Amino acid sequence: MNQLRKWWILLIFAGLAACTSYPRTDRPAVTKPYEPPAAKVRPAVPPPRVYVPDEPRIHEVPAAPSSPAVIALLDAAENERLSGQLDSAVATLERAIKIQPRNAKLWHEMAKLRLEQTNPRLALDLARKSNALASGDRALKRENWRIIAEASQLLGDSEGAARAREEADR
Amino acid sequence: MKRNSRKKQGKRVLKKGWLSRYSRGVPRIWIFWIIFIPVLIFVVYVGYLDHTVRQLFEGKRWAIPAHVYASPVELYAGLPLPPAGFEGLLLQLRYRKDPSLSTEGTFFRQKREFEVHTRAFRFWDQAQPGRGIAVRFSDRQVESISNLKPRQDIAILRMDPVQIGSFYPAHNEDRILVRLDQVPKPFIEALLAIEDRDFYRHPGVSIKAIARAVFANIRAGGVVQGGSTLTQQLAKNFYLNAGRSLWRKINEALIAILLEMRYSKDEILEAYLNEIFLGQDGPRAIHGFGLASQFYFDRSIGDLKLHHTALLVALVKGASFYDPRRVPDRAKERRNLVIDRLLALKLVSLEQADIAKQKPLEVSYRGRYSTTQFPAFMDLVRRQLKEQYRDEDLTSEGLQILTTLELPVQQALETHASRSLRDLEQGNRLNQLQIAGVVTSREGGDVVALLGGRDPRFAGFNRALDTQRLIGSLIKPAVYLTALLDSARYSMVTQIDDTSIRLKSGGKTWAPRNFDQKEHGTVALHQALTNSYNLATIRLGLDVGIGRVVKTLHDLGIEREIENYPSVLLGAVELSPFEVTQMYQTLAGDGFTTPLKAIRSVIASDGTPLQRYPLTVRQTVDPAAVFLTNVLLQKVMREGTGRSAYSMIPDHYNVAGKTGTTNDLRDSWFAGFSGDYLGVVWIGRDDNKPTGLTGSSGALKVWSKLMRDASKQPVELIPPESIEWVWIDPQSGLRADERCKNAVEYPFIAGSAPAAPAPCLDFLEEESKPWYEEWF
Repeated sequence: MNQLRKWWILLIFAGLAACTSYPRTDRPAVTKPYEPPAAKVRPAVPPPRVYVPDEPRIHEVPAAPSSPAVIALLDAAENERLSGQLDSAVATLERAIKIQPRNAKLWHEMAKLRLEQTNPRLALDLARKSNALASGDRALKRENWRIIAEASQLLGDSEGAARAREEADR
Repeated sequence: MKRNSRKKQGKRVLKKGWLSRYSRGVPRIWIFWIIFIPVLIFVVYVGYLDHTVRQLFEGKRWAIPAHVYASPVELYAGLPLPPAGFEGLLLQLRYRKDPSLSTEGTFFRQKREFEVHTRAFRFWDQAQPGRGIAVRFSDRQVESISNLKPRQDIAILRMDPVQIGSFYPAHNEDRILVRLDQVPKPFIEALLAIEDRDFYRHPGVSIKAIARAVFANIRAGGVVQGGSTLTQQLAKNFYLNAGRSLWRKINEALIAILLEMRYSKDEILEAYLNEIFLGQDGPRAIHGFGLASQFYFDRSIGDLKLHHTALLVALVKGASFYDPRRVPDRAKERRNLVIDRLLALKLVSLEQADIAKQKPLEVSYRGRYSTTQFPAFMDLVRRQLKEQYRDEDLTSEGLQILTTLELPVQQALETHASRSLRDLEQGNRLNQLQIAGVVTSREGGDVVALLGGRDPRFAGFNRALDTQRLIGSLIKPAVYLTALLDSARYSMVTQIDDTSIRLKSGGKTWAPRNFDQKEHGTVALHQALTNSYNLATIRLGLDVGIGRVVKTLHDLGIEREIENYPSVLLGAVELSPFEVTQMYQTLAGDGFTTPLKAIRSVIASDGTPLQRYPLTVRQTVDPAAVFLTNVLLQKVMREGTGRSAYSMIPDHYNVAGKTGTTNDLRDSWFAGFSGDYLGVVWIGRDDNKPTGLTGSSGALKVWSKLMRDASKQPVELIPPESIEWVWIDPQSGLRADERCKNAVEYPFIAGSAPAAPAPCLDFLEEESKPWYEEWF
């Protein structure tokens, strides 16, 4: 009987919870790779607490540069790189980063350029920065780890290079 | 030899005869000296003048101040810029409205569509030619950009940058150099017709012109007309102060003759075109026709029409007396007189003269003086340049300096700073408040706006860089970050005592209190920062170790030495707003430090790229711990001491930041960032007396309005791979799951979340047993 009352109370709670359109969460605005919820058999008592953002998300970090302006600048930088004007390519990439400062791909390209300019210290940090922004983009992260490995090697840090290679092959 | 001696003899004879005639009774040697000394003095003086002439003509002629530019605006489809904003930019760039787009620097607007003939500009990485483009807008943003001929879409276009100031030599002369072959022939003809008809014939001084002037002056009973040739005028402009003494006239004439002996007519004319004084712009003196064309008409000298040419030539006689902005009628009368004279000399046709005389002056509007527009920012630019350039380089080499200043942000900062200070003073019966502000790009550390005091035009004490004040609670994120870096011991939900504490330091007892004078018992780490609890922060900081907190501060970019005192934990560190910005830049940049910079590149006067200040980053703090700290800084804005920001910023717009208030309300601070900008604002008094303002009631107000207007991207934190999300029961601080009532999801560095289950989970486990188990 006691158990039955508990059921009723739970049902009432469930009803109340269902009426709340904004389940409370303290999760701040973050971009998190989507993970499907684990399939578990549970009684359908309280509604599952899902993350409902206040507003439609503006994703700062597109998987690939989506803006034609940024694509144009990336192309221009690549052309400059191919014609050996590495400094100009860096300046062009900076313009792109100014437009999309949180685009991991752009930081990666910058890291590549700096490595080509044999500036391993900066290349390494730029690749790390790209990693910090890359979210769930595993392929990009692998590329970044390769840059980190090469830069570490140039800096005489074989251990760091080996670790980075491991990360790249993960 | 013989001939020579005879010659000498002859001379002596001549001298004897001459002397004996005039010098009866006076010793000969005296007579010799009386004549010889003045001649010697004269020769030496002429030699000195000649030396000066050469020095100045060859040296000073090329003294061009360094010109300083704001960050260029990049136009591309999707740029959040309303049509009015674009028109504002074109006017700041001094583009003229002209439907035919006849010259560079012109535009034509039809509602939401602009046609623009852009101006050429030499950037560090490439020279960009002027071109005809069409820009279409929606209400809020650029829809498309296309080339006019041929019609073709353009993905991105860099506009020429707005000039924000110059570094002048001591005499404040400014000019744009022109070569003789850049000046249209009709312009030269008009100038010579009015100022010096015999220029190509006289030897520097024209007896004819002097005679004419003397005659006119005698007739008028005073000096009304000058008989100066162009060469004499150049001499006057070049070397001498104002005044009309006879001695000066003689000097001018001497210099003019020397100039003509040393240099060709064309060289003299070119120097004249660049040297002549043609107007005053506040403290800046406008020299030469190249700059005067821009200054009066926003045109280059090659784009002048007859009525423009006539006005500039008219101004030679007296740029202040005929100032077309101040006394337009007088200027127009003089201009038309010049046109009549050109007609009389048959240099223009009657029809041309009539049309030109009908034209208005067409002088462009000039607002504030360009030299003093952004003194605080210019001060920063100068300081950063001084590391590489000498003062003389900055004031004479004609360097082009491209900076990081973004005009809309600078203007928003200035506007909101002055309005807010006025409101705060009126609303709270305060006075003498001062303010400083720094805004940077969130990534890259570009200083996009800087304010050194409440009067943005006053070039005095630069508080943004030079005032050092206690930073109070602005230091707290460094304390929490230090704890979170040690993920084995601390997480967002670590329980901390917010209870009174007494500390002995240097024989004195220190008993800090909370701002609300209360103790809050056991609180979670995230609550302690969100609500800026002092007691919990002290306890946490002491537990972590003050030395480690100080190390974190250095890792964040503070270079100044910091003592290991407990009071450091509550912000007993004096920093400038600029240093605070550097510290928060590392937080905003995910743990990557990037030095704050105001200069992007320096280009020589001939377009050669000299120096670039590239984007650099250095990882100094673990991004995962910084991510957690930034989550807390978002909570500060949503629930804590910063929440009043949302009375100005839209609810859905995420920002992160921290308030700071010092003892007795002496300093009101706010530091925080949106997705695109980081801003630090300080309000206080120069005499360090109490202001009556907290961080939230003072600085935050300015910051919020600034971000509301300037920011286009909200904060979207990106969790590093090592972050996991765990549901926590707020009451126990233990691991829950989504079914627990009131459970909240928090980010943790993997492995640092509490493992023990919250009581609610036991309860739910029991509940989740199949119902029939109870029945059997």
